Amino acid sequence: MRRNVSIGTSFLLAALCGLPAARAATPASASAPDQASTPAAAASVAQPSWANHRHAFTVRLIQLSPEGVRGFYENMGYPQAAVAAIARVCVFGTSIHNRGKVPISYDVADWRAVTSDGRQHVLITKTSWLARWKPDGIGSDWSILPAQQTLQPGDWAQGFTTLDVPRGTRLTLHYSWREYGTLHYARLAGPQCGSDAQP
Amino acid sequence: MEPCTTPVLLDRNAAAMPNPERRRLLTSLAACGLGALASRSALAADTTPDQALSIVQPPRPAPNFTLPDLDGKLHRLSDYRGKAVLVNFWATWCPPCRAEMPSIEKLYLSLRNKPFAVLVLDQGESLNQVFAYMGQLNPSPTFPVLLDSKSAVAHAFGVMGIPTSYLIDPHGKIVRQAVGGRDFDTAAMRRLIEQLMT
Repeated sequence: MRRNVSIGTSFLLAALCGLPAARAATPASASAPDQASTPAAAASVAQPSWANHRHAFTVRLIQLSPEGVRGFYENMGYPQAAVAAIARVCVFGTSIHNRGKVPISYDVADWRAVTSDGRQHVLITKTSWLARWKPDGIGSDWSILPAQQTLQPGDWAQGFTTLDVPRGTRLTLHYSWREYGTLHYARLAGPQCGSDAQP
Repeated sequence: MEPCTTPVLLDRNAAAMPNPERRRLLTSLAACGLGALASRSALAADTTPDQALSIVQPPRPAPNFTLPDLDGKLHRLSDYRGKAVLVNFWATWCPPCRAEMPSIEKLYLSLRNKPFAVLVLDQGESLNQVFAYMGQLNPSPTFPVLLDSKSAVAHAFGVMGIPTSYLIDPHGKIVRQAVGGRDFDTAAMRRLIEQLMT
């Protein structure tokens, strides 16, 4: 059963993106243990998110619903085939930050998601999406997290990370980055792929 | 960072809305995932004045470009030689891009009578989309807003994600850059730009 809209869209938008109208809501946790993080806010009012802030390279994943992803790309004017392709997979809003004192480089192709059955899943990189979307006429995209990048101290970036696992799957993200020549590894446990709301 | 509201609540409401409203809402939901750290405090977190824009060493020549603004007037980067230029790559759907835009305007106004220019290059959106968004900004930008419709200039600069900003010296060389949103309305930022002018 659908409810009528009783409050303005602007309020909802404010609530969605943490604008002042929603500031009284439960704040997200700022940090998490090395390999286990918890949903950042009360589940009843927030999109679940998971973060690892223990290292110079911080990673935060935010659960997105397939419907939200579909709406985003439709509104961006992407062709239906391209929209359908990305709405089929698991998508997280992702924020990364270099909070250290030296440049940091990463390569999403080296990252893995490990599911409870022990299987490792590669992430679908931006490079892969551009190849998949090329037949649909998409030659450029700014929504997917850059596949490789060097972040100077203070730099940060956002974008979608995607992988092909079933709705509702819980996983541990194993990710890596380089600080100069040194390779670092960390884990982010708990992210769960979003599902569409039940009617 | 404040949380986004639950997709369950949103989807129920969105389903009853006229399509444009629904789309706007759903887009914001996804954008929220992209831009959940876009608050001013998050933008400024852990960035000392020196880190606000990292040094490009050695400075490299900025790729020249010619792009139209919202009035159709063409702007060529080389025409700004002799001025410090802040070049910013952005899009209206990108929350951190939106968050930093007012601070860019304040910076621009504070240096209005100095040899300083701002060029913001929208990525891949139509004139109507960008024009409609400009009216929502307070303060509304008074600097040129250019349309990089195929992202050709962004690719020439080596932009990986938006927002990304470059500070170009009066000789046309990129001397500073920032990946991710920043607060440009700071004394440190003004000092940095004024040093470039001398």
